[in-house]
Amino acid sequence: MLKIIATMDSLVIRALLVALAGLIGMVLSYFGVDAALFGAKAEGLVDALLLVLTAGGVFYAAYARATRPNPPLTERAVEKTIEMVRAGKLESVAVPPKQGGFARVAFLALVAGLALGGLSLSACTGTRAAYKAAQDADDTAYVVTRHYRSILREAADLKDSGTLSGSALAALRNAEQIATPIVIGDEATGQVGLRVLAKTYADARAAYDEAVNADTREALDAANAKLSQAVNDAMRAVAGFLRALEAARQNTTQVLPFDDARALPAGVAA
Amino acid sequence: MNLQTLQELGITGLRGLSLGLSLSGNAMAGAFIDKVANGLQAGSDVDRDMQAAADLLAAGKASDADWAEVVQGVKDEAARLQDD
Repeated sequence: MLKIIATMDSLVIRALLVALAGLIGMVLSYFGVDAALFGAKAEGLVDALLLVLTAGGVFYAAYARATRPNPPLTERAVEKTIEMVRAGKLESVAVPPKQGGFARVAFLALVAGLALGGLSLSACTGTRAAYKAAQDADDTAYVVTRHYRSILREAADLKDSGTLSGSALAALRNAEQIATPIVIGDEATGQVGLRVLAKTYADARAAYDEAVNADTREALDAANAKLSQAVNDAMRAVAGFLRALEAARQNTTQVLPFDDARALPAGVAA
Repeated sequence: MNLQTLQELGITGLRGLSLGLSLSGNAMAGAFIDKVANGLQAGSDVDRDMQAAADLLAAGKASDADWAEVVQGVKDEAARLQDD
C-alpha cells in the first residue's frame, strides 16, 4: 500500500522552503532596500547569512533526497510510482507515514526565537535615533512628547482591541493621568507643558544669538534650566507609563517583545 | 537591507509561521507566535514614528505645526485611552 504524506512533512520540501526564504531575502536586497541604518559591514554580513541559509537549504535538500526515504506527496506521484513498479522499473517502495528532519516544530520554534531575538535587538533603533538626533533641550522636549504620543497610541490600540481590561487598564489610565499634564501641560491647574517651555527657550536663544549680553545670557540660562528640569520630569513620567504598558502587556499576552524604555537616556527609567 | 524592512519581513515571517503552525494542527503554538507578532508590530509602529522624528530633527527644528500636531495627538490618544 503506497500512501502520500503531507507536503510539509517532506524533508526535501522543508529544506527547499528554507532555501527559498534566503533567496527571497537576497532578491529583496538586490532590489535596493539596502541603506540607512545598515552600515556596509552589517549589510555584507546579512547578505552572507542569507547566502549560507540558501546554500545550506539546497545542500540539505539534496542530502535528504539521497539518503532519506522520499514518500510521494501527490496521488499522481503514487500512480506513477505504482506504474513503474508494475513495469519493473522499481523493485520496492518505502512508505513511512512521516518523515523526520530538522524543520520540525522544535526547529521552527528555534528559528522563531532567533528571529525574535534579532527583532527585539533592532526594535529600538528608531527611538534611539530620535533621542540621539536631539541637538538641544527643545529638540529633546519634542522627542519626548512625540515618544509619549506613540506609546499612548499603542496603549489606546490595545484597549480598543479588547486585550486590556481590569487592573491593567486602570493602572495604565492612572499612569496617563500623571504623565499627560507633565508632558503637554494642564490648563486647569496652570501647569506648563514642554511645548511652551521649548518655545520660551528657543526665543531666549534667538535673543541671545542676536545680542550677546548679560541680560540675554541670564534669560537663556533661566529658560534652559526650566526646560531641562521639565524634560527630566517628563522623561520619568513617560518611563512610568512605559512600565505600566509593559506590565499590562505581560498580564494580557505574556509577550514582552518591545522595551523602548531601554532607548531612554540612562537613569531615566530607574 | 534597511533594518525596519527587516523588521517588517521578520514580522511577516512570524505571521506566516503562525498560520503554518495553526494549519498543521499546532493551534496553541500558532496563537502564541501570532501574539508575539502583534507585540512586535506595535513596537515596530512606535519605532517607525520615532525614526520619522529622528529624520525631522536631522533636517532641522520641529516647527510650530509639528509641535501642534504632536500635542493634539497626545490629547486625542489620552482621550481614547480614558474613553469607556
